[in-house]
Amino acid sequence: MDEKTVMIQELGPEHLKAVVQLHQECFAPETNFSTRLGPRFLRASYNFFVKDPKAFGFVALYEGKTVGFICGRLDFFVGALNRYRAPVAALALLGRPRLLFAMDFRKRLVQAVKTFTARRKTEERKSTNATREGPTATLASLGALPDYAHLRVSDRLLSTAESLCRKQQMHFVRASVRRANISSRFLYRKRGYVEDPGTSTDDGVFCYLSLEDEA
Amino acid sequence: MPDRVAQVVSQVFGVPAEGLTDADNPDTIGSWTSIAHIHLIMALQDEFGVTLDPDDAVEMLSVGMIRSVLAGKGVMA
Repeated sequence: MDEKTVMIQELGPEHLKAVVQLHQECFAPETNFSTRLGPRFLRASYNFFVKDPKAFGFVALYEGKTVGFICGRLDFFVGALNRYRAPVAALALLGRPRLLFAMDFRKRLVQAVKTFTARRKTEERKSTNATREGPTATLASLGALPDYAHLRVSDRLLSTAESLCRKQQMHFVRASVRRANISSRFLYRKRGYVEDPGTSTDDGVFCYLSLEDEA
Repeated sequence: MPDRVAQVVSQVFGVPAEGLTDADNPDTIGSWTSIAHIHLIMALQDEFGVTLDPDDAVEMLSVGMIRSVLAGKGVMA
């Protein structure tokens, strides 16, 4: 297989079905809040990245198959995303009431409600542990099928997203990743992202790429 | 003769051990992908009998840094 045959396209409504499937393959329900809420919730979540004027998304295609995707926003995304998908989340929870008894899920739910109500950016900054000053884009989701890793799908998606952020005058790109997710942390480190111990937690790591360094 | 670190790197990434230097990294070894990095960590743990936590694993961004992390764990590679 040839790396050159991987095509990157802007995320559109026509990709949502494949992206939802890919999300379910890449993110196990045990560790992913959105996967547990089901495909309808996932579709609404990814539709946000199609519709929101500050959001961006790309998919990687290989021989017509969607093998990777990346989404983000030219700003914080959590509050805006949660406000957009709240009605679908409520419906999804009604269909899965047992989720409310799972402690980790409740913790995430409380966090989501906090960002839902964080109307002011300063509040969202607090709730998402952001520290960098200057226009910062936030990556929301990056997924790629492991079988296609040799095609460097994630690298190509990240490169495309970073180029867009640079063109849009962003100073930083921010990402968060589970501490135990070695392959993703390795990928970000390899691309020059710096992990910020000051804002990271026991479970998660926040990392930043300075786009100014490359200017 | 290549040392044990070079041999592990060679086996995992399918590159000749003889030519490896401390400066080699994912940019110089095309098969050193993020998924292959997991295989590298597992192979190093098996070879040297150490436990590498995620924070150790993400420090290993070159052959030299692999040696450095292992040395920090008292491993004489």
